[in-house]
Amino acid sequence: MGRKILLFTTDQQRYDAWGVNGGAVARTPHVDALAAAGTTYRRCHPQSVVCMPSRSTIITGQHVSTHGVWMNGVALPAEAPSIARVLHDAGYRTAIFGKAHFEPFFDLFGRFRENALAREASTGPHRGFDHLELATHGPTGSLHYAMWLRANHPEMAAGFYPVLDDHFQVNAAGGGDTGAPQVKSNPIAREAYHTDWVADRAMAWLDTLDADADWFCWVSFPDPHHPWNPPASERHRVDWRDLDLPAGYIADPATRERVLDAKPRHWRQWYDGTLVANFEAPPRWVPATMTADQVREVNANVHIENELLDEAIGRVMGRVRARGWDQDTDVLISTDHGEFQGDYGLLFKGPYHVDSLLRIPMIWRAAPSSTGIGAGQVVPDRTIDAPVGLVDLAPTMCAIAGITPPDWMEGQPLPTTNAAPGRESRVLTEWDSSLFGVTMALRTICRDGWLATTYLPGTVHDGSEGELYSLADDPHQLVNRWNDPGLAGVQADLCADLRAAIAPPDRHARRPLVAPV
Amino acid sequence: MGDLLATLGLVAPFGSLRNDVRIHRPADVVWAVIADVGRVADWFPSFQSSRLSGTQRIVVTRNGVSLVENVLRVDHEQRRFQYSVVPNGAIREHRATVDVIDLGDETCLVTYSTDMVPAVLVLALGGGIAEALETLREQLEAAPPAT
Repeated sequence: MGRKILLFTTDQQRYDAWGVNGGAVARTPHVDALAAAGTTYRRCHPQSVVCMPSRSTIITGQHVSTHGVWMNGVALPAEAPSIARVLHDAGYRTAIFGKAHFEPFFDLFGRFRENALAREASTGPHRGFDHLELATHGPTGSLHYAMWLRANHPEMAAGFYPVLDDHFQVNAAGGGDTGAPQVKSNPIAREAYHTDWVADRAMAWLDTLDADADWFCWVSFPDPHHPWNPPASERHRVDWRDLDLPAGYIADPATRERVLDAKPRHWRQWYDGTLVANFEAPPRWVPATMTADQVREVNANVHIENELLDEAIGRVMGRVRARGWDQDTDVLISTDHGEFQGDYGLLFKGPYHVDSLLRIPMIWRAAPSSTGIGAGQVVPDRTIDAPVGLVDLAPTMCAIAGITPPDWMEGQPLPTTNAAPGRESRVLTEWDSSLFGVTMALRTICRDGWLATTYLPGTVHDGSEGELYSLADDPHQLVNRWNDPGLAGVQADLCADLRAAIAPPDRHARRPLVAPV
Repeated sequence: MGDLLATLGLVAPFGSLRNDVRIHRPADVVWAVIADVGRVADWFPSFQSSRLSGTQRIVVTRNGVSLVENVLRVDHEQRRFQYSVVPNGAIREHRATVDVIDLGDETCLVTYSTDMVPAVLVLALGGGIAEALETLREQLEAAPPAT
């Protein structure tokens, strides 16, 4: 019997969501306890800041330019490399619950297997998972959760915020108390909300397993990704009127605009509502119109959702303990990318490589049976400062399972001590998008306390632009030092490393864009 | 974004997309397949069935959705087929043009152009069209050339 692997992911969650990472509003005792018993990574980046490319990195262990899912709406082929298949072939039972999103949600013709499973009353197999029960952010579409909700609680299905508007664009309509976009009071019963549904389905599957089974269970919660519409019964947890504004929110508009103007021009263009470069933000919403109270209300809803996530994780862990597996189970907790959540006066995500979107939670509670002193194991450090990435998750799971990572995996097992020799000390993130005439490409490296982003020529950039931040001196990346002559050597060194690590995009080699998302 | 630009008065809120494929078979051979418009499901994998009813074509997608299409033009001289999806809950306006262009070396280029509202849906249609054109190429090139 080997070590079991329990991977919890959330969607669009900031580093500071959990208490262990400095979150001071949401109460997250279950995650914090797992972190206290394991290792917390203080500089983990996704390899893309949108869902489909980032999730493709988690399952393949590859960078975006390798797996080829270069933007949302590009499908990862069903036969693509998969950590689930590797573990399945090694004898593990494998399952995923919640948000997969390796294939587009927009599926007019019913072309994609993820969308067909529930329609066919099937739970797999697919991509190496023996069992799949899928969900996204609401009641539309043909994933398992949406079909379950519509069939069993049709009155509750109507209570969600409609993610898309009548033009199938991300909805800009305001709601809640302040008119904030993508906010709504959702009358759904907590038990029927997708966070609890995902946990329930995972626990039900765990109950089907033999006591001595080896298993990999990916519990993939759709929250706290917008829409921000947690069950109304839970709104008492955090009153937006009581919240301080987030540290990254710049209250003075003139200061805010000066900060944005020092970044490449698409930042200010989006803020002013003159350019939306990607599908993931509402094109009819102008960030400059957002009020401080709207920022507070969005944040309050996110904090509520994070508390529900923590409680759901606690319930799943309770089931693991009840089955007697806790000592032999490795628990990994992360997300696919971050969220502005008011930083710089912005919401959502896009081609903006700063900590709001880049810095994400990563926690590894190794199976207690594997780490005891006297067992020949190195005692893990509580926190790791070296840069790591989601690309490292798949090889880490191989290491847990005692499998040599396949050659196609590009990451490295997560370090367990700060003195891990021979490990790459940089993390890379890519952005490519080409949507309705707006093309954009960013390449980012984080190394030695610096965050550097280069821009390739596109619709609004000529290729000379860039961003350079000192993470220690400028934790909110307010001062772009790209043109600081005193840092020319640092910039040149980082850019050379970046160019050597990521080849320029070959648009003819890209997988086809087949949907908006 | 199409809609954003439209609100600024710059362009119509249409999504516009062109797919194409080169097929190593004569234009007349390829055109004969495309012009048989009621049998589009034979080479369009996203459709589980298709049939003609007067000047309309009814296709049923893989996930069971029926789309009614108006056949606007089957032009044997230009080798051009045009049709439009009858507006439904999702699609408000639509027009597609399929051209078969003789490249003069016993090969041809098939272009499949789509304009529609809402703009973003054109991407979802385009994925199915790209798959269909590739299927068409594979089917025709797998068949022995006419002698």
